[in-house]
Amino acid sequence: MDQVYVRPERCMGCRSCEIACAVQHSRSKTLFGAIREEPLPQKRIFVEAAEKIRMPVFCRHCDDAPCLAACITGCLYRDEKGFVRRKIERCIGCWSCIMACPFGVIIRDRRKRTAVKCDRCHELDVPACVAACPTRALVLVDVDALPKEKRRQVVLREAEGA
Amino acid sequence: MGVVVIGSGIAAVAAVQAMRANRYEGEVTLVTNDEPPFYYRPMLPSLIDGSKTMEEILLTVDPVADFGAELVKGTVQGVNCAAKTVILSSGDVLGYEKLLVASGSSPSFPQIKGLDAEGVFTLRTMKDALGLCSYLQRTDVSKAVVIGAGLVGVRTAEALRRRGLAVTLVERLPTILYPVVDQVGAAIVASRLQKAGLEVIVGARAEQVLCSDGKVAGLRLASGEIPAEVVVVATGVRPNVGFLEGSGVDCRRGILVNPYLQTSQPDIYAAGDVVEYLGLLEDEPIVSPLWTTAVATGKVAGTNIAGGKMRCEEFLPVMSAAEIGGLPVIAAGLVAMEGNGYEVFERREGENYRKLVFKGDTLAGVLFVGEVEGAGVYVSLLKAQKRVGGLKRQIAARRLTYAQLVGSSGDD
Repeated sequence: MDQVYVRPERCMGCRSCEIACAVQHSRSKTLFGAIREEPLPQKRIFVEAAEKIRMPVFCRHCDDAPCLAACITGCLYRDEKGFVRRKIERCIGCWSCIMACPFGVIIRDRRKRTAVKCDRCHELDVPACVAACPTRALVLVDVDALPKEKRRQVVLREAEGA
Repeated sequence: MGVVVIGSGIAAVAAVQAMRANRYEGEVTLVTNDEPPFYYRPMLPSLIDGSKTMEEILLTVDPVADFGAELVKGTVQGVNCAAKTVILSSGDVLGYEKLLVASGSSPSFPQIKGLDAEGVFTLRTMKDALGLCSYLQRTDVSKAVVIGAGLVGVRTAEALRRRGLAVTLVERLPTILYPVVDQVGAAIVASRLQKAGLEVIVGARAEQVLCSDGKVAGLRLASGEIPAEVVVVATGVRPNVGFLEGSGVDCRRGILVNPYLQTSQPDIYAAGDVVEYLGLLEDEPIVSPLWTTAVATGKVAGTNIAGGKMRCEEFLPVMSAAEIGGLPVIAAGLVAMEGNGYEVFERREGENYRKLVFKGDTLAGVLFVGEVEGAGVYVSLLKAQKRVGGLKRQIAARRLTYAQLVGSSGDD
């Protein structure tokens, strides 16, 4: 399965992913439309900075998703592609998923009193955040192929060093 | 033969799901006296204010249709470990190769008179909730009293208020929602409840349910009488283990288990509210009647019944999220703990309140009221009992982000 992979060393903290995410989840789906919407659309990806690192943090659609296990309403479910999504009409805003998420990436829609989270842009081939990232700090990768690529890079580095 | 599961709550369902996920293909029989068998128990208050219908709170997973389980309606009377059978009160006997006890818990009642009057309810099962709803519909009820201001009591009181009743919430302890929130948090939440029109009385022991013609007429406290036509008792739950007496399955408050959720009888496992198991933060084993515990223990028990080897994480006394009086609340661990080697960091701005309790270098308690975003990062640190050392001040001072944890992981 393709996963959104983060390469923190490439992240400039430009927040293009955040803007693209909010626009994708707006009604108009255009930047100029989105900024005039009332209420403003909410982003589901968060560029976080700490002393030695800068990186976007977002839903990992975990295999053993704690949010899914904590949901007491049947709102959260795993779709046919493996993404953890919401049946929004079931959400009552109990915030159990916010309590459970170790990444801290589920937020509240304060008007509707419902939980808001990444839906992996399930209707798009490439998620909006990945498409918007100018430095390719966010990339779509096949997780099964990833170790192979990492090994190749290590071998290349070693060869150069020698 | 095959696997017999006593119970049909979320622990039982999670266990069946885990058995099938771990390729157990044998027979699975669920025995339950709950009707309907599968629903979201924490959603019951939504029936009372009419925000959800019964159909809307039925479980989205069906063990019968989705996992080929068989359902037997009945009440379990006993277990014969030598013969490996479960005896039902109907006289029927079910044989098992492996047994999972996920029999849940029942309301525990205060020792007071009048609880048998018409108009006294609990809110444990769908039957309870529908019974209360129909009583409210066919009787002229305008005033209700809820005894017990834990999460169930508070949510029930709010639902009754939203239905238009005058509601009094009576709590024996000096604060509501203990031990989910501390004194400060309780005061913030209580004032929201009062604004919503609820009367909250704390530090008051219910003495007697007053009756007239066999029907509820009110509740007597030491300080006086509260007139009411309905009394809801929400003073906690106790594990359903009575039917195991003399069976050879070791119990204290709940069923004693090893880390694989095996009981003293190797072919019998336990999951959910009935389990008494090591506490993460306590020296004594505890029971943990929480949704998240039920799901987690169900998964562990189901996996191990199917031949896996999965360890159960230690229990937490508190792990709750709710919106109360329109205010989000998230709490985990020992929130109301003070002194005795605990280091407490608190920050309050209006109704936004955050409290972190450290024991040495690890988090022991997390409470967020109001702005709850990101609380899960703290809760996961607590659950992992990760030593935070140098990060402690930082964690207490501002919002902890996942990136900080990644960035600091090299310092350990």
